[in-house]
Amino acid sequence: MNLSVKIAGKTWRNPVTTASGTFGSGKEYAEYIDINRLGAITTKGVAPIPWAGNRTPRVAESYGSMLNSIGLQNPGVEQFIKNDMDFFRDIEPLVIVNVCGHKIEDYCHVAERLSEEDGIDMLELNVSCPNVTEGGVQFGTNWKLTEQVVQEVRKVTSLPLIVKLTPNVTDIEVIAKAAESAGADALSMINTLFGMRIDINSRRPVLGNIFGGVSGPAVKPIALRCVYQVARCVKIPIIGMGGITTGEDAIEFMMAGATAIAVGTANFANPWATIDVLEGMGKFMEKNNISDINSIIGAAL
Amino acid sequence: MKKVINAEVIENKQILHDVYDLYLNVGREQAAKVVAGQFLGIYTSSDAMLLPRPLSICEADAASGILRVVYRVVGGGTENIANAKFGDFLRIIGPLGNGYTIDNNVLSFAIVGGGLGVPPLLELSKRVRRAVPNAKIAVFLGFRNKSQIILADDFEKYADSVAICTDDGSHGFHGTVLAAMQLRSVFDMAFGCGPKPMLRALARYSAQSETPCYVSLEEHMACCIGTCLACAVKVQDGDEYVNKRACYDGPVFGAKEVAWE
Repeated sequence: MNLSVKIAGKTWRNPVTTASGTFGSGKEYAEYIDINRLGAITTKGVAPIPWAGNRTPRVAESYGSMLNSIGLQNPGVEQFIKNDMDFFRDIEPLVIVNVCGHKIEDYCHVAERLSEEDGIDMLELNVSCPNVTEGGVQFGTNWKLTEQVVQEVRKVTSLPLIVKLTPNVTDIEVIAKAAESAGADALSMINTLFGMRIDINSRRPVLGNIFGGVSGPAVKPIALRCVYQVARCVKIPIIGMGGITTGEDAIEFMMAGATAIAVGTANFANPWATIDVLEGMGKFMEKNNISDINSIIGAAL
Repeated sequence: MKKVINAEVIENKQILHDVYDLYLNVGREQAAKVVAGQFLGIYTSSDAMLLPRPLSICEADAASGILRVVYRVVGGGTENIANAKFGDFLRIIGPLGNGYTIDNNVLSFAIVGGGLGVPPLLELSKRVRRAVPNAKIAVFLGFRNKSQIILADDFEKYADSVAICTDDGSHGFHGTVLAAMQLRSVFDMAFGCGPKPMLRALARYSAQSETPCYVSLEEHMACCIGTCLACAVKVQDGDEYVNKRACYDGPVFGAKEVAWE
């Protein structure tokens, strides 16, 4: 049975990665699972300098979903390298570092700095976080800015670039095509949906930041729709995510056109979620006599 | 490798109108790992609620493998947990986080709790008694009023004195735990768990009296295992204050390191 897939010339031993921000750099989950079984690890967002993140409470729950407004808290690229590079060089999965910034130079700075390190396989440009006021989703909701940031980062690194798209747009195809034409090697989607909760006893928003990003099983149909739409209009591979909890969910995303998939919020509901998804995919393939996972990519298109 | 455990509910009884006393069989191996001040992540039985509920461990019995968790129903998740009956199984992760470190060379301890911050201090009192058999242990527990008092008798087993304080004076000392504490002698070490204003006052008192003090902080969590960065608390690291994770770096921190603003 072949589970390996190829994205931007890199071979993934299997299509399972982690959604940025739900897995740290993988160290904590390594206490629970054999992370070497994963195809890739996608890290928490990294900025040029430390970001403190938003005020608490930073999380809330809703039916079959959760909201977060972490605000990309991170120690900055230098501290990130100091903390995590040795760990990355020790593990088998590919390492995808999520890159964030307030302005284009920030993305370039982080991408350039990470390119000097040995042990990073791909970069994911976070132009879609709904929880920071400057940068983030401001880029990802504007095709011109998406194009610009990808073009500029493309100039400073030879690492494959994945652009992470937001579903909070009128037409995701426009943004996807802009990223592709600007030189993106792959797309990942979706980032969280913009939402909120209100505490009816205190009559106040639950999140300290008022608004946050919705994720979890409840968003899966939306994510699937985005992947399907974009798969029909771009040639570069897609990493699909949004509510993936089981192997069947992952298969569904691949049939919608994803070459790889990421497990995010499900990790919080079950630290073994990535492994469960991987094993579930294998079981589906076995049961349906699928010898190569590549044969189902885009099967529903 | 750490595991998700299916823990059998031994008992889950209502002790106040919104407070429950849960006994869970987590097995001897897990129970033996517990340090006072740690917590469990307890998943609900509903697929609609994804996140584990971080609830502090009130008592741990390594011999039987049973943990006690005293918790308040504050929403749908804890309500779901409160509905678990004898013989049901709850999925849990833990023990999680860093608990209290007990200095064996210290002789007099103040253990200070408020409201639903009180439960983890029971295991702590037990551990202090075990670690320093001849210690003087003074426990101060604060509640809004008489009807909110929990676990007072349990503390009597390990403490030399248990002062119950109520905001309205309906039972015991009329006033805050800090006011009650300051009427007594000085202490060599203080431990606290409870509402932030109480912990802030305890931190101020311990700083003034140069008493080493450790407090358990609370913040909304998602993953409970150190990855999501939801439960950020400002704590000193060298010359600056940084965000630490209540779930993984804490929940217990040195009181003088915490940013109390």
